[in-house]
Amino acid sequence: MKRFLTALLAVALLLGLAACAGEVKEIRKTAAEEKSAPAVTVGKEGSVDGYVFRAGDFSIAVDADMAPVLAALGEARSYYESVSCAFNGLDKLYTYDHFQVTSYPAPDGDRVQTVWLMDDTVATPEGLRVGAPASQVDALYGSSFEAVGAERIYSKGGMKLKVIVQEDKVTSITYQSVIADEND
Amino acid sequence: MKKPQLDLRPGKWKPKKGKKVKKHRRLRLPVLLSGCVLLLAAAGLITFFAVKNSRVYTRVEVEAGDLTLVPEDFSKNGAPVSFDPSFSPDSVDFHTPGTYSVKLKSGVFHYTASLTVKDTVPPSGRAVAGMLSRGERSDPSALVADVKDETRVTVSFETEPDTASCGVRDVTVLLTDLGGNVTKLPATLTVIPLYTVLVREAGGQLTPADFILPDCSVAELFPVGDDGSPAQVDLAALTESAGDHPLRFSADGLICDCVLRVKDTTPPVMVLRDVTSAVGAEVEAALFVESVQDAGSVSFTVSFTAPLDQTGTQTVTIRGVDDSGNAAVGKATLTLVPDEEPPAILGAENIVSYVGKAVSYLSGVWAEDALDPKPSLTVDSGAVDLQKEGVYPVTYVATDAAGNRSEKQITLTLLTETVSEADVMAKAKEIVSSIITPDMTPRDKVEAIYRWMKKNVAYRDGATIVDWQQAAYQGLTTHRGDCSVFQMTSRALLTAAGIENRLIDTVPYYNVHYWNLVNIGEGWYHFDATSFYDKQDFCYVDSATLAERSVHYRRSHTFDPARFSYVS
Amino acid sequence: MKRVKTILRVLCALLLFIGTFLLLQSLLTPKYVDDVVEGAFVAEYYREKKDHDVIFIGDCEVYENFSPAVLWEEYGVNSYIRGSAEQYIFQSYYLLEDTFYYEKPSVVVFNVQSLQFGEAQSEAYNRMTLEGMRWSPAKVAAIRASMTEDEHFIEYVFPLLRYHDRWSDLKQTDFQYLFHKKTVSHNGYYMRLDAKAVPENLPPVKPLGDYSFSDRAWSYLDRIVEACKREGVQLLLIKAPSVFPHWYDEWDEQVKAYAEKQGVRYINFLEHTEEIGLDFATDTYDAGQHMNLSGAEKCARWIGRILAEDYGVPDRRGEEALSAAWAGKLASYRAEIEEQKERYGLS
Repeated sequence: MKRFLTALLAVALLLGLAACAGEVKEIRKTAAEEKSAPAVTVGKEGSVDGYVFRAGDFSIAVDADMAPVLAALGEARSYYESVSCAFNGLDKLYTYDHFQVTSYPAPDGDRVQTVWLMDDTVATPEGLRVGAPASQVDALYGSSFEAVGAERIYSKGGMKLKVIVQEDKVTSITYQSVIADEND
Repeated sequence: MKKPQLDLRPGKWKPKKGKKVKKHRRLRLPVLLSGCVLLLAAAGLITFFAVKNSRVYTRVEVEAGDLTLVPEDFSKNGAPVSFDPSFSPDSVDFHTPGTYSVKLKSGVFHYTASLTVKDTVPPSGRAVAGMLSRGERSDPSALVADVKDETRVTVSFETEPDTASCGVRDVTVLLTDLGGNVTKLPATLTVIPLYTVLVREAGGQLTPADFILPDCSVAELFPVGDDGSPAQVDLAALTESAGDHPLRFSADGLICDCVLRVKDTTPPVMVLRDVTSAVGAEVEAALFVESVQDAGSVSFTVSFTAPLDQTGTQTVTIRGVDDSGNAAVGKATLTLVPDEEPPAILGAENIVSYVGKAVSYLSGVWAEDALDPKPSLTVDSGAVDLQKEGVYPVTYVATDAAGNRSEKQITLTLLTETVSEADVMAKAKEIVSSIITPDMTPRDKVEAIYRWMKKNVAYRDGATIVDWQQAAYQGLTTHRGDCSVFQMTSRALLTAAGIENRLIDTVPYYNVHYWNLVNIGEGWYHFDATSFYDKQDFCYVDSATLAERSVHYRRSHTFDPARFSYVS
Repeated sequence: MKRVKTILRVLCALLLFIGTFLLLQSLLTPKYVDDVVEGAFVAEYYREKKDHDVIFIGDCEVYENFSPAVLWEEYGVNSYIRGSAEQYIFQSYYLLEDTFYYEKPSVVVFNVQSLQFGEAQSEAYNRMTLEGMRWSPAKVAAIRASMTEDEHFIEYVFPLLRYHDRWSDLKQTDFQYLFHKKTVSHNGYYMRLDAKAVPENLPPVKPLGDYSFSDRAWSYLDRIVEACKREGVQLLLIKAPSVFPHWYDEWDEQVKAYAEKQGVRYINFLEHTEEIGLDFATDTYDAGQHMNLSGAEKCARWIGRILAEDYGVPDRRGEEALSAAWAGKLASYRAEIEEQKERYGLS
C-alpha cells in the first residue's frame, strides 16, 4: 500500500513537471530586434523614387544592382576594394572619369552605395554642379533639408542627397544609400 | 501426544527453521516488477511529453505590426527551432488580426503551434478642418491626417453631418481598426455657399460673385488674407495664368477657402525672327522666337527643310505648344554659313586643390565661338588621381558645331590638407557643445556622442587614413569614411567631451576593424559607432556582447583579451 | 556473509551506475568524425608508437601545410603533427610538455601565428584541443590556462555535464564510434585536394594601431623554448605560408629579434615561396589561408631538406618495423587521395 502510494506521488510529481505545456508566450518585438531583419528591402532597380544620378543615358540609383551599372559604364579608370567593416563582404570603389561609385555587398549581389561627383564637369539631373553657389542649391532642391554642419541632407524616396556648402559654394555632392544608416 | 498450541503473541512465534514463507514473496515479486515496469513506462511517457513541451511554446500571441516571423519566437529555454518545410512564414499576415497555425520542428519533435495576431492599440490620427460647398456629400477621410495603425483603418462619421445649410459644424470622425479599437476625433466641417473649385478659361473676366452657388445668396462677399482681414486680389490677373489659384473669401462672415482653376484653351502668340548659324551647329527652336504671349509656359520645336551640314538658306517651321496643349505654328528663315574658326577657351588657369576633395574645373571657364552660340567645353582629367598628392595635367577641349576644336592645358596641384590637432579639437568641441548639455551624466554624454555618430557619419569605402587628425577631420566635416574614420572621429568627440577613451582594433582575420574603448569610472567598455548594415548598436557594451557578434560576423571584433584584459 | 552480500550489492550498483554514466558520456561526447574532424586530431597521437624524430605543434597552419607522408617518403623522417583548430600558444606549450612525457623528438617545429592570442577566444576551440589530451598534469594546466569565463573545470573532467543536451543531435556516427575511434588524419595532417586560387587583386591590408603581442603570449613562447632546451630538443620556429590572415612585417621583425636573442632558428615561409615552388593559384584550397595537398607536399619537401641537412634528422627508411608501419600509412594516404579526387572531380 505504501509503495503504491509512493509510486502515485512520483507520478503526480512528474505530471506536474509536464504541466508546463500550456503556457502562452507573448512576444513584444522591439525596434532593436527588427534591426536584425534582412537589410536590403529595396528591389534591384534601387531607390528610383529618390534622387538619381545620370551618367550619359544611364541612370544610377543608389541601392541598385551594380551589375548593370558596371556593364553600362564599362571599365573603371581605377578600382579599389577592401573587406568591409559595415557589411559582410567587400566594399568596392570604382572611379570613372568624373564620378566615383561605391558598392556594398548585399545578399543578392553588390548594390550601389554612393555616387560622388568628383568635379564640375558632371551635374545632377536637376543641374547642380560642384562649385555652384548656395542659392542654386536652394533653387533646385528647396529649403526642406536637414543641416549637419556645412552639409545639407535632402531625403527622398529612401535615399539621401548630401550637398556640402562651404563659403557659399558647393564643395561636395554625394548620392547616399541609407542602408547602413541609423533608423530615424 | 497433544500438539503444542501455537503461541501467537508478539515475539513468541517464529517459523520453524527451514520453513520459509515463500508463497507471499512469490506473490509480491511479479506485482512489484509489473508496477516498476508500468511506472517506468509512465515516467518515460511523461518525460517524453515534458521534454517535448519544454522546447516550444505552442501558443504565442503578438501585437500586430511590421514583423517578421522567425522560428525563435516559439523557442522555449533556447531550444533550437525551425519551421517545418511545409509551412510558409509568409502565410502569416501581421497586419490582420487572427489566429494562424504554424508548423515547427525542434530536434525530433514536430509541433503545430497557434500564433494569435492581435491589435489592441487604437489607431492614431489628427483631425483637420474641412470645407465643402453646400449640398456636397462629405468624405470623412478628408477630415483626418496622419492616420496610423498596424491594421487597416476605416474612417467614418459618428453622425452624418448636415450639409444642406451653410455654417460651421462640429463633427466626430471615427477611426476603427481591424481589432475593433475605435478612436474618436473631433473635427470641424465648414459648409460654404461658394464653389470650392471654380473653373474658368484663361483671359476671361471674373468677379467674386462668380463663386456664389446658384441657389445661394450672399449679402457680403470679399477676398481676405490669411489673417481674415480684407485683401486686394486681382482676379483678372489670375485668369491670365493657367493653373490652380487658391483664394480665401469672407461670405457673410464665413471664411471660405476656394480654388480658381484657370484653363487655357488659347494657343500661344509667337513673334519669330530669322537666324544665321554655322554649318553643322545645333540650331534650337528658341533661337527663332523673338517673343511669345500665352497664359502658361510655352515649349518650342523646329522643323528643318534641309540638312544642317550644308551652307544655304531654308525656311523652317516653328511650333510652340503651351502647357495646356494649345499649339501655334510659324515660319522663319535659317541661313547656314561655313565656320572655320575654332572656339576660344577663356578663363582657364592652374588649379590648386586638396586630396580627396572634388575639383571645380569649369568655374570661371567658358568657350566662345563666332557662329556657334553653344560650343561644347569638356575637360580631360584622366590623369588625375584625387586620392594622391601630385601635379596633374588637365586639358580643356572646346569644340564648335562645325567640328573646329581648340585645347588648353593647365595643371592641377593636389596637396594633402594638413590638419592640426587644434583644428580637429576645435571642430569636435563645436559639435560636442551642440549635443551635450551640462546636466548630462557621463553615460548620457557617451550615448549622445554615439547617437550623433550613428546619425551623421555615413560608412563609405576608402583607403584607411593613417593620420588620426586627418581621419577625424574627414569624419567631422564630410561625415563619411570607413571604420578608421569612425574610430578617430569618435576619439575626437569623446576627448572633446572629457570622456576617457582608447583605441582598439581586431586581431586580423578576414579584416581589420577599428573602434574605441571608453571609461566613465565603471571600467572600460566598448564603443563602436561604425554603421553596420544590420544596424546593431555597440554603445558601451562589454566584450561578451562583441564576442557574440564576432561569432556570427566573420570575427568582426575578435581581439586578444590578454592585451586588453582591463576591458569589461 | 550478509555483510559481504551487501557490499557486493553496493559494488554492483556502483559499477552499474559508473558504467551507465561512462557509456552515456561516451555516447554524447562529440566524435569529430563527420564535418568537423579537427577535434579528433589531438587524441589520435596516443594511438601512435612514440618514436618520432620531428613533432610539429600549432594550429591549422601546421596541420594543413605539411605532409608527414612526404617527409617519410623522401627523407625517411618520422614525424607527427600535434595540431588542432585554433590551437593557442599556451595549449601548444602544454601539448609539448605532454609530448615529452612520451618521447623526445630531435626537432620540434612550432608555428608562431598563435602569438596573436594571449587568451582563449571560445570554448568550442578549447574543447577541440583539450578533450583529446590524456589526463596528465599538462592537461590540467592546459585546461586551467584555457578556460573562458563561462567554462568550468568539472565539465572537462565529466564532459557529460557539458554535452548532456546533445541527445537530440545524436547521429549514426555517435553510435558507430562509441567504443572505437576512427582515424581522420595522416600523422596529424589534414588533407584537402581541391584548389581555390588566391585572388589576383588582394584588398590592401589595413594597418594596426598596435603591433605588440601580449606578455602572456611571449611568456608561453619562452616556456616552449625553455622546455625544448631542458629536454635537449632542437626548436625550429616557423611562419607557415598562409596569405591570410595577414602576417605583418612588424610582427615578423619582433619574432626575428626574439629568435636571434634566444639562439633559435626562425623561418618565415612567406619569404621563400618561390624557392618552395608554391603557386597560389593551385596550391591552396581556400584562397590562401591553407595549403592543399600539392602545397603541403611542397612545404614538406622543402622543410624536409632543412631538417635532414641542418638538423641532422636521420633517415630511417632502413628500419623494417617503421617502414612497415609507414607502408600502411602511405596506403591509407593514397587511398584518401583517390577518394578526394573522386569527391572533387579531379583527375
